[in-house]
Formats: sequence, structure tokens, C-alpha cells
Amino acid sequence: MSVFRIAGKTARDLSAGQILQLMGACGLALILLGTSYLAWSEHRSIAASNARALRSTAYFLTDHGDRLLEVASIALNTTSDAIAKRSWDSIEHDSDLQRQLRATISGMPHIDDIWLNDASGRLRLTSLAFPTPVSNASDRLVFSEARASHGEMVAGERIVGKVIHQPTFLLARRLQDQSGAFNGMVSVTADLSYFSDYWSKVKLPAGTVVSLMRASASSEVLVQFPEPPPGKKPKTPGIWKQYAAEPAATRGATFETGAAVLRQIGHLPLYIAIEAPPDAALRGWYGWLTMTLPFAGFAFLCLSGLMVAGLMQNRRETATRTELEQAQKRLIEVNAGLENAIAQRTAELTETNEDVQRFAYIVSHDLRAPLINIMGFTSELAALRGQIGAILLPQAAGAHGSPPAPEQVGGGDALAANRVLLEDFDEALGFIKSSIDKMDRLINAILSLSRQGGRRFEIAPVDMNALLHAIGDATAHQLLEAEADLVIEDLPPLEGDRLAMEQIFSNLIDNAVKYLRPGVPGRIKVSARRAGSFIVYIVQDNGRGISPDDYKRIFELFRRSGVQDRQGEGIGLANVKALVRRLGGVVTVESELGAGTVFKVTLPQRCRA
Amino acid sequence: MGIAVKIVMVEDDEGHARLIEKNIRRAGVANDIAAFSDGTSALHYLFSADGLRSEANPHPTLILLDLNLPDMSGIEILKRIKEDDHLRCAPVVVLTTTDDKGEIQRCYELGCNVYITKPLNYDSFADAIRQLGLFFSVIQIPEPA
Repeated sequence: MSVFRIAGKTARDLSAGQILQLMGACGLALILLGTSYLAWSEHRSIAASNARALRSTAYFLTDHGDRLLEVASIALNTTSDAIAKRSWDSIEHDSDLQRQLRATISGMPHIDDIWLNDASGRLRLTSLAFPTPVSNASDRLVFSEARASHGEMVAGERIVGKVIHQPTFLLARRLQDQSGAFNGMVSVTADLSYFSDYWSKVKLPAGTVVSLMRASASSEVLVQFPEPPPGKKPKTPGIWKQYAAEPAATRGATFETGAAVLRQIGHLPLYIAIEAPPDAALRGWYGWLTMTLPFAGFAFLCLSGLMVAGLMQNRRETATRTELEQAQKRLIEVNAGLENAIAQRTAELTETNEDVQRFAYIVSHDLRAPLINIMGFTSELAALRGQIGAILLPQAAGAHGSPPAPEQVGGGDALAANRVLLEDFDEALGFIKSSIDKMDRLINAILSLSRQGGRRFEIAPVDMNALLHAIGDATAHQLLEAEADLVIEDLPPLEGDRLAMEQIFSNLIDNAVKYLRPGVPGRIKVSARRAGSFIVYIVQDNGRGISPDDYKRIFELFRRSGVQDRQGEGIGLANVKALVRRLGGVVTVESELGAGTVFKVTLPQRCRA
Repeated sequence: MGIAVKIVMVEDDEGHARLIEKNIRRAGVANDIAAFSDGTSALHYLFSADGLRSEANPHPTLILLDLNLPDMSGIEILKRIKEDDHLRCAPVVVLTTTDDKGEIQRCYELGCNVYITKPLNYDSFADAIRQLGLFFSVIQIPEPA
């Protein structure tokens, strides 16, 4: 995800996934930056504290060395004072003086022996032994340095004792006569273990090397901690080389580099060099890192995991949402197509329906016009027949319904022939009239159906109990005549067109009453049950029944079933079927000949308008 | 006794026309009948200068009108009659084959005076016509302005 793309959007435009990524990235960056800063700062602080520790260690190690020098100085001064103004020969044979010297150093720790050498370097007196062993120090570096000095203490080279293998070094001072000329050297042997023992007890950063350096023409490491492996010479500390490379004038008493400190002991050319390993600070830092990084790493991993989980979840949700949206879109498209198809179909059907109604109306209208003429002129004929009858049968004028008595008419044969003629005439007229009546009824039926088809339903709650009871009251007379009972159970109400409901159930109950079995007390029952969002109304009778072959026929216009002994045009059930279908329902019949019929009207609780 | 009422009959079916005339006569109405079998000629008679209006002393008029005409609807003629200042007062009897409620109401709204469904039973039709004749003889048809 590009940051620029995000920047171009407002927060509102971002998806949940993008916000998650952004926040996660921020969190991860924060963890990285914070950890890096802490690490850097810790590194700095560890380095600084290491440097501080080195500096203070150098200070007190120098101080510690200084104390040895002080003791040595006291020993040297005491000895100098004891031999002041005495000749070397008298000193050499003075066993009391030798004892005095031994007593002096016995109270001084780390000072082993006192040595007195004359100007030629010959050993004249020592606390070690009496009489004085033969020895000459003139070839020793310290002797020549003492001779060249101005009375200050000088330090000698490292000496490893031949007997006890204890490393020592000499601290010496120049002796002079009244004229100030060189008169020999007084020196003490100092244990280098003074330093190494102490250093081993000082807490120093791991890997730190402490060295005591003797500065001279040829510099030398007097003692070093940790001790070099046996047989190896101690390594000259790097800081000493750096220090030595400095111009002598600018050298100070202390010299520091990042991980090392060099410090002079008193005014002697003795230096303590402390060198921490270059990675000392790093080691502490590594320690800190090993303590800290796991937490940071853990936090990082947790956040990354959360982000990944969140992103996966988001991707899943997005995928699901996309699928949903696509499915919804498809559904909408399909629905739109469906709605269009339905609307188109409905429009077509409505048009067809309207055409049929218009057709029915026109047909019935136009059929009626000639029928009126037929009927009218048939009446004219009937009137004419009355006049003709009066001529043919004079006595029976105006009473063509009841033939006149033959004896009242002259010429019996002719009259009889006339009577037959008139009877044929009447018969023909009768058929014409009854056919006209029937045709009139049929046309009226078509007309009424076409009008009903055009009527708009008004959907409103209908109390079916009240409606059926009203129908029962209206048919009470027929029921009484047919000796039938009408039982109306409790019927659930529904939302429908009241008039349509009236017509449907009037027709069904009329039929039930009309087609009862002769001699069997009629029993008509109306009941109902709910079926989902539909209500099934059941009209049951114990009448003559309908043959299964006629189940379909009875719902067709002008079709009737069974014995044709009742008045009817075959319209009622066709009308019922049309109405029920328009209301969004269905009507079915179950019947057994000679046992009864069940009509089931299934209607939606809320009918179509 | 005023001037005799003239009956204008607009009926396309000759049989109907004949039956109506017969029954009117049988009912004892002897007024002059002008019969037209289509809307155009009827309108011509009713509204043109060489027709009904040309007569110096115009007759009070009764109009018998069939709604199903080959060239136009009788309702159109009814509308024209009732919109006309001269003919507005003439009573109009609508004779038609159906008893469509909407059609009946529309005719009465337009000002038709009587609406008669052509019955097949001529006895009752004759009664209706006879009553109409009675109606003509009793009612004083207003003089046209």
C-alpha cells in the first residue's frame, strides 16, 4: 500500500483494512524506533558509565600505588637520616645500624629490604644480611638513573627473586655529600604483588587489563593483571604507546582514550594503565539487549501477528462482502429482469383481459340488437296469430291459448285442419320464445361476467363469519324448502374484496342447496383452516356429488354436470373460479357421486387487489 | 292545446325503429315522427338551417336516441343537444340495448330525461312507451326561446 495513495484520501475513504494496515505499520515503526532509541541511549550510557568507572578506578589504583611510594619514601628517608654524615666504611661495619634497618622495614608492609650502595655501586649495607654480601649495582639501570637524578625517588626495573620467584622492583634515591656530589644510592625492594594482589580484588569490567608501567628510556611493564601466561612477557598496553607518541611537553598526569586510562603515580615515572577491552561497553549493552530485545521482539511479533490476522480477516470479510455485493447485484439485476418480465407479462395479460372484456361486451351488445328484433317481431307474429286465429276459428277469437270447441265452427273438417295449423304455429312460436329467453340469459351472463372482470377490487378486512351468516339468512328460504341445515363454524377473517367474497360463497352455497339428494336431509357445512399465509375455506355438502370426469368441466363457462333438472346457465362456478384466481387463490373440488361434494377455496390472508 | 310535439328518432336498426314506431302508435301516440338511421343525418337535421331550424314556427321536439350508432355514439349527439341553447329544453329519451350502470349514469349526467333499456318483452316496452305518450300529453313542453 502506498503512503501517497493514503495521503490522497481522507480517513473516511479508508477501508477498515487500510486503517488496520496504517495503524499496524505505525505501531511497528514505533516499536522499532523506540527500541532503537533506547538501545542507542543505553549504549551511550553504558559507554559513559564504563569510562567513569575506569577513571575512578584509575584514580584509586594510583592512590593505592602512591601509598607504597609513601612507605618506601619513609624507609628511604629514615635510612638516609641514619647514615647522614657517616663514612661508608663505618657504615659497612655497623651491625647495629644493620639491625636498625631491619627493624625499620619489618614494620613496613611490602617493603622487603633496604640497600645502601656507595658511589661506585658497591653494596655497603643491607637489611637482608650481615656481614654485607659482595654485590655491585653499578650496572643496574636504576643506579645510573639515581646518580643522574636530583634527589627525587626513582623506580627500578622488575626483578624476579632467584629464590622465591617473587617479582619486585627497586625504589631508590640519590645520596650526596655536603658539597652535593653523588655519594651513593639508598634503595628499597618493593613487592610488585602489592599491586597485583590488590588489583585482583578490584571489580573491573571483564577483560580489563591493568598494568604498572615504568617510564624510562626503555619503558617496561613492571606488573600486569591479569598475569600473562608463564614464559610470556606482558604486553605493552596500547594506551602507553599512544601516550609515548605524544610530545613530552604536553603530557599530563593522566591520559584517556575511550576505553583506557593512564595515570601517573605521584611524580615518579610510574604509571598505572587500565585498558578495558574495546567491546566492554558493547558487552554491557549486549547484556541489556538480551534483557530488553525479547520484549520488544515479542511486542513486534504480537503486533505483526495481529496485523496479519487482522488483514487476513479483513481480506476474508472483503472477499465475502465483495461476493455478497456481487450476488446482491446479480439478484437485483435478476429481480429487475424478473420485474420487467412480470410487468410486461402483466401488461400483456391486462391488455388481453381488457380485449376479452371489450369483446364480450361488444358481442353481447351486438347479439342483443338482432335478438330484440326477433323477440319484437315474434310478439308481432303472436299478435297477428290472434287475428288470424279469430278468422280461422271465429268463435275462439282472442283466446288462442284454449282451442275453441269444434262444434262451434261450421265445416268440422276445415276447422279441424285450421286447429292443427294453429297448434303448429303456436308450437313454433313457443320454441322461438323459449330460445330467445335462453339466449337472452346467456348474453346477460356474458355481459355480467365481462362487467365483473372489469371491476376493481377493494381490499379490506372482511369478517367472514358475518358474511357467511348473511348469506345463510339470504338463502334461509331455499334451505327451508330443501329441508337442509347450514352449519357455519368459526371462520378466520381475511383481507379481501367483500363483494367478490359474497359472490364466491353465495354461488357455492346456492349450488350446495340446489343439488341436494332428494329424500336425504341436506347438511351443508362451512369451515376453515389456516395453511401458512393462506386460509382454506371449505364448503361441504352431502348432496348428489359430481363425477370425477366433470371436476374440470364444472368450472367452465356454460358447462354443467349431472342430471339437468335445475335452472342454471353454467355460470356460477366459472365466476367463482375467475374471482378466486383474481384474488390470488385457487379453488378445488373433491366429490363422490351420491355422497357429497367438498369445495376448497384457498385464499391468501391478504388478497391481491 | 299547444303545437304538436315532433318526435325525432335516431335509430340505426330498422327493425327496432319499426318496432318502436309500431308500439308508439299502438300506445295511441299520433305525433309526427322523423326517423334517422345514423348520427350524421340526425345532427344535420337537428342543427342545420335547412333542417329543424329552418322551420318558421319550430315544433317542440322530443328526441328518441339510440346509443349504438354506426358513425358515432349516441352520447355524442346527446352532448351536442344539451350544449345547444335552442335544443337544450327538448326532452331526450335514451333507448339502448344494455343496462350498464356507468352508461346510464353518464347519460343522466349529460341531461338525458329518460333512459329505457330495450326490453325483449314487448308488453312491458309497450307499457313504457304508452306511459311516455301519457307523459307527452300531460307535460307542457317548454317553448324554445
